[in-house]
Amino acid sequence: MTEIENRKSEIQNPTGWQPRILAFLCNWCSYAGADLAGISRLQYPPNVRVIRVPCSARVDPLFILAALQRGADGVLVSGCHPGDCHYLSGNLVARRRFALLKALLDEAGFETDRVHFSWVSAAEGGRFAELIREVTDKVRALGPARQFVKQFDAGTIHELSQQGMNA
Amino acid sequence: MNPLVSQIRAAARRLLEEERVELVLGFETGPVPLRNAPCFVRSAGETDRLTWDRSCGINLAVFLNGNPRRIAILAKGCDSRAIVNMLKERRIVRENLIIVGVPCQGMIDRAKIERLVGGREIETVRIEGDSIVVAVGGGKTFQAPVEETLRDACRDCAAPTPVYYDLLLEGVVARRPAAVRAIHELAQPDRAERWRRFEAEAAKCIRCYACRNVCPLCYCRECCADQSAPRWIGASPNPSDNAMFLLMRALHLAGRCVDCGACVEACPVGVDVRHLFKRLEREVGERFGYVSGADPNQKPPLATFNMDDPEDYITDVG
Repeated sequence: MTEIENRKSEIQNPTGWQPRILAFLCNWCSYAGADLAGISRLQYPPNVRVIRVPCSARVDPLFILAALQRGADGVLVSGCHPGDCHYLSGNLVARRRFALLKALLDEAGFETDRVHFSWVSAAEGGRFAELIREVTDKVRALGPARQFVKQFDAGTIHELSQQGMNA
Repeated sequence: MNPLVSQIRAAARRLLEEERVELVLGFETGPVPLRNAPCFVRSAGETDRLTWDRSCGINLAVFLNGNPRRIAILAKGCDSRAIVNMLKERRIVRENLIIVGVPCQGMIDRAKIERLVGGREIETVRIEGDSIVVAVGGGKTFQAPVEETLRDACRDCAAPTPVYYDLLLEGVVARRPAAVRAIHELAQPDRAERWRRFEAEAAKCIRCYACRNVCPLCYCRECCADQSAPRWIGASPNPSDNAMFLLMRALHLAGRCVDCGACVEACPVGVDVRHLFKRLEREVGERFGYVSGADPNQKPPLATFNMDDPEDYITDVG
């Protein structure tokens, strides 16, 4: 079964659990890599929702924790390869920050396979598809997120919708 | 009386008389045993208020934040490390500051003493040799080795004598750094158990922010826990929001925390997630070769990078 057919079966069978993965892709490399994967008609699991950011260094660990808290089963951050940053050193600064975030989550006992960091260039459509397969497999193996997920009450949902954020 | 007290008073008197500072930051006897209070001495005549013993756990560097006066501060090893980091972050003006280093013998953990006496009201505490003797009501006393009643941060402290100071008090041999316990290596529980423990700690938090307020390096004008647009971290003590607050606080102190233990001591409900901070301390050391609070000239680790920083955690494919 192709991934498109998978997606169709997911829609027809909404009770079957599918991982929801949030991907922060940098504008200059990984987002273009994802674009290339699409243009090249490469197939990969339809479980990622992409947020385009100017640079991997734009991703505050708060974004990642907020995504996990609000129901993402996994989070991926991908930027330019080290040395190729459009802003010269953004991804190098981010690399230090994410190393510490991942270690911290590990120390707290969080399932670290839900959080992934990688590098994909604008020329690596194939690598992007492969990466999404890898990340989706890892997250799928863990099942639906349970740790850290916030149970929202009605008031909070209202408050978030006022801010334009979906609970 | 602790032999440091006379030295502290003499130094404070001299600094104030010579008008080298406007204010001396130290400790005075607190309202209850084992809890000395911060003391702000503004004239030579007041210096007899100053005291020193093993209940001076508060990190006095917290009072330097945004303070424009010329100040002399009594600094234990951990306070001096905090000062080093604050200097790097331009929180204080070096010329305005005189650091009076105090060799530290380790501070007593009041919570441990309370457990020792089973929650009874503590009347007096004295140290006899290697033992601590605690008297409670009804003539009853409890005794324990001092070493075991020290705060965990003090037991793990590798530099109880300040390494950065203007003048260093003498006469007392600082506590010899014990073989530094690597707490994250002590029988590391498995992942599920770590999460269970972390969740239990987070569930206790009442979000009073005492930890944030006593921390000399937690000085953001607007903490991410207070931001309301967007509201990243819910303001009420929800277990998930508490976990997020504790994780973000640890992360924001990565490479900056000096392990003074003030936050653990200040917590009214006994939240202790010190292992998170220690893990980050270890990671920063191993990955970036950085020791927090040691060298005023070393660049903060997250303000810089190396081309060949380790990327063992990166998800690689193909």
